[in-house]
Amino acid sequence: MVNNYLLEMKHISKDFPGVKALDDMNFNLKPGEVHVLIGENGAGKSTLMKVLAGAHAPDGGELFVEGKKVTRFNPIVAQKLGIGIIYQEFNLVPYLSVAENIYLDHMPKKMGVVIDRKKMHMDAKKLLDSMKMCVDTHAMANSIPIAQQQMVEVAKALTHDLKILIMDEPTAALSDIEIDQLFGIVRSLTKQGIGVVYISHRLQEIPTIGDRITILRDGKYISTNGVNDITTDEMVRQMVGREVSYLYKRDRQTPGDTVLKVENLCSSKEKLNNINLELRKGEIVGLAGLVGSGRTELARVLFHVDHYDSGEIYVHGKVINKNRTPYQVIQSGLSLLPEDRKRQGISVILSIAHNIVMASMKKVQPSGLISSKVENKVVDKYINDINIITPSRDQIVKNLSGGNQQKVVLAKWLCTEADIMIFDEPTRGIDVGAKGEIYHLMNKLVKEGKAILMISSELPEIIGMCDRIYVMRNRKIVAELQSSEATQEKIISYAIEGALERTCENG
Amino acid sequence: MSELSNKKRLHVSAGLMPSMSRLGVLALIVVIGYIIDPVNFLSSGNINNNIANASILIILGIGQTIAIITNGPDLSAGSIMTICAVIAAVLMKNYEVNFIIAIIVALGIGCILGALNGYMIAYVGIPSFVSTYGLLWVLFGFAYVILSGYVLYDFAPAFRFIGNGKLFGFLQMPIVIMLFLVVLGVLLLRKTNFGRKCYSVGSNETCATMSGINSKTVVLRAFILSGLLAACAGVLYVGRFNAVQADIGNPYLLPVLATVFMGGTSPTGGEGGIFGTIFGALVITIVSNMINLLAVPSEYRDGIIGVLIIVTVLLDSVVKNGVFRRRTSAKQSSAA
Amino acid sequence: MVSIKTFVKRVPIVTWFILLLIVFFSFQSDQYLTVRNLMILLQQGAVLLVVASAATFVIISGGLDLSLGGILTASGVVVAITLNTGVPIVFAVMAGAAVGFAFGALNGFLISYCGLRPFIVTLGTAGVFYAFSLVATNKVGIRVSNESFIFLGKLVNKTIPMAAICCGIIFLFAIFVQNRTKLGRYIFAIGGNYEGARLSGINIRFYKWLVYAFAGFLTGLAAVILVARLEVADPQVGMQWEFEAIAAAILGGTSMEIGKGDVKGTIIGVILLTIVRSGLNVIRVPSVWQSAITGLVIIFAIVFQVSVASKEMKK
Repeated sequence: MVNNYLLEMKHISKDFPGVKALDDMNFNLKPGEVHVLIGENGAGKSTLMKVLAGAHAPDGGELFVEGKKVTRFNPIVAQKLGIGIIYQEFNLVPYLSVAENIYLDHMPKKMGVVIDRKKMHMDAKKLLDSMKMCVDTHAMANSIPIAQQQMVEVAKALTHDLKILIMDEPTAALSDIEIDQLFGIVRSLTKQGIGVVYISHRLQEIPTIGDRITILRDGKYISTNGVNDITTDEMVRQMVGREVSYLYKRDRQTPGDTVLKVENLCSSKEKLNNINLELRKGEIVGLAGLVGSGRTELARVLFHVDHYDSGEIYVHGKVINKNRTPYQVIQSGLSLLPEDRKRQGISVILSIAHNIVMASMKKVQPSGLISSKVENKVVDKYINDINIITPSRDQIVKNLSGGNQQKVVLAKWLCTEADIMIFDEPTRGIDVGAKGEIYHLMNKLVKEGKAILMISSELPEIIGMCDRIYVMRNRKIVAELQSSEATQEKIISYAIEGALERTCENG
Repeated sequence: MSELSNKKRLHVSAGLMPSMSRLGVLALIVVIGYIIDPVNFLSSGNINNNIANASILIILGIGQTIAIITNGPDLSAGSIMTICAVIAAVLMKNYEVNFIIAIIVALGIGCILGALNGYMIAYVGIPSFVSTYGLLWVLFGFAYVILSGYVLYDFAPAFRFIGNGKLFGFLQMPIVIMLFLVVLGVLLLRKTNFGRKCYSVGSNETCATMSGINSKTVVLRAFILSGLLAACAGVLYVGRFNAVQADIGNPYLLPVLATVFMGGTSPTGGEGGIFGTIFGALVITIVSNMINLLAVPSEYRDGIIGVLIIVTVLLDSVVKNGVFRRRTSAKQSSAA
Repeated sequence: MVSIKTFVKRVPIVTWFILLLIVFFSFQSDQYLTVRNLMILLQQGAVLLVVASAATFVIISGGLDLSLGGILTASGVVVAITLNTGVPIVFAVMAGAAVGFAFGALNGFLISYCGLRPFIVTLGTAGVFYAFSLVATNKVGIRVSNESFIFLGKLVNKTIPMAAICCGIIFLFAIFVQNRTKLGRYIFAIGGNYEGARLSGINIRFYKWLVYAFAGFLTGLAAVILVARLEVADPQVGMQWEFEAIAAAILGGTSMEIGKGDVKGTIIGVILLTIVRSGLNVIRVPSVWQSAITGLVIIFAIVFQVSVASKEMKK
């Protein structure tokens, strides 16, 4: 019997202490296809792929690669079988060259011990050229743009004899243009007969790249369909297991007074050019643009973490002095949920409670000393309000999922009772269920009278959630769109070719 | 580990389990001590003496704990202790200054030197490791020059009461002072805004800054406290041993670090506490006591303490993570 | 691997410092700018160069080794004891290197396989190694008198700095290892992205262990030269060496944070420290002050380095 499948996983189960991570899982992959795998965090996608990559051995079930049964499970065997995996977090070594990173686990050697640098760089250059990438193989891995770093990761996987390539959230850090490049590479791989397993949270890109799509939930297999045979809504419903009304739910309302006004802001260090924007009570305003267009830099300048040279920032109509510290800015009512939530938003080795009250200690010091009773009450309130899933308020944040970590960051700022909130990529790397919760929260917040400035690279998210959208390009604001007139094409066209340009020189 | 299983496992940040293991180690050492010398070891005189001797180590340890939690070790603490002791001694002996004023001056100098450390570290940006190490030698030089090789001894009885007196007839003064400072220290770290900020800054300075905390002043104050406590230790030393010379602080450098780390404070900052430091100090002091009792040659001392340090943290690791834990998912933590 | 251009750009501040000091000291003594003095300086800095290189490896890998002084001392003791039993020099050298490797391997085991923190572990093992030295020597230095052995560290005819030559060779070997072998490349991975390297299929835990073992090995070799030069194995000789080694590495451009650095640069740090110490001797500063001033110099040099580095980052 001829087996057409590149990969077959049948009735795979995997238990961890107290948890059934995989329960009677089935999955298969045809040669030359892109098989998309989706599911919430904890659905089992990563575990399933780790079994495939040899990181875990299954407790039950069978695994066949090219018709042959796999009996031993470790990374080396998996590599020999032609299975490659690109993890979500970059595995590049920052101060090693691109070539060394590509050949990290099998550097060519002379005489067994000495590394053959010439051959390594030559081979790397050949490989990158074939991927249509122009990268200096001698460059340090941390000196090339993030999109290129992602491509180097792909190159690294390609140096092994691949039959199956697993990609876990490869487009998370890429903007739309770079994603196209990646898809080009994926297509060239599939043309060679390589099968690609593509894990993603970004539902909108699935029809572009995928052939089939499998949905997992709570460790169980739910369904497999051709990508064109299932709607996004249905995908979400199967992932989440319950009726999910349209994800981006907004109760639009008339905006109130202007709470934040920025006039002619210029920063030579951050290279921001003549920024003008306005935020009103009850609004969610979006800030769109390519990676590197200056959005995060603007957010940091607004929050006074970074310096600016000229221009005025008005909060509630009052000018904020350029030299204010973040502390003073917080007192004025501003807050910033940073893009790099693990490194800037929370302190991972501290507890949830500690993190939540970090920016609003006065609240828990009724008489000068910290009162545990007051602190616990405050912390529990926010844990409940935002639905942070944790066995205890003293749980260390490191162990929480991405979505819950983001909720802790949000709780911290809600605790300061800020009324102007800047969200920088609030739902990056978070599964659909948690995303929905955050959107719900954002909606609730603006209904209560807060104002939100949201930076996002996910266009459907920005269009779905925002009342107005500023588009940034090259550190300037080049367009302002009302939600009614905003489309993905329009935003992209502004993000790439600016329509309105004013520089600080022209005034 | 999958995300699911992480949700089910509880990691308490207060570190209850490691504390249990430390109490166990302490209990074990006491038991061994008792076996070695059933008659003297658990006598109230011996216990009192041990704890009084440990007091100086503990006081230094409190300062170190605060500094390490916030930023990094204060390697100059031993020298700050020495120079403050020297200055107080010189003032009392050579200039007939009232001992209360001498103490105040000494404490003041401790604060100033601590501030110097803090400034270099927080505002100039030198790693604490390097800055405090440099100051260590500078102060040692000063101490040497001031004393010109002499030993100062025989101080006023009123002053010596601090180191030798007994409150209510049985509580040795060093213990009283030490307990007082311990209580203040614990209150500071656990119940004050400043203490919280120390943990915040030490665990993630970027996040602390973006949460509105002025991390520079926090670090500065942490090192001022370390200097102040080192000065306290110095004053106590003179009071207890009734003598001072230029190298009294040197033997404390490594034991203080050992004390703090055995106590569970992390070199990378953001974790730890004073109770753990007390544990470390008690272990080291009691073990030193036992070494004396057993007439073990002094050259073994550092080795034994070294082994104790390693055993304690090994035990810590085993308790926290289970026996033969494989680091398959957790990121390896780096050094100081 | 760092290209020449970045090497030159990174180092200048400390280099100017060094030149300044040389000028200063040459005014203090007309013997300073002589070949003879240069040879003496080379001899004085030789052993530190090797130990600092070992420290550099460890720091690049994101760790710290506070026991290098202890390993230096203990290896030296073993070398002396072995030598005095009359065996050929080769065996004594091998013994020293082996002891260094073994002690380093112990560090590596506790750090890499048991997952303990380097600062604490090496603090503990340092105590153990020093205790070992004190016990093995009975608290008294062990003299060596084997002429051919002493030759390895001697300033031959007052012109040929054997210690510097031997240590120079070891230093070049260390550079070679860093640039051309898996161990040398992987230290950047261990320090820069441990988890990523692990997931790439490398037995990273082994290499992390190997770093400490190798550092111990290098230090063991350094101990051989030190004992040869001093003609005695002192059971407390290594005190403070670990700090000076670390300072030299940092002055040479190696960063304590992120898997960044270069053994090549460490020589600059060693030169600075050596010039300061020997210069202070020249102007007859009492030894107590020498350490103080050395400490100050280290601080100033690092201050400059840090401020230059941060200015560069802001660009």
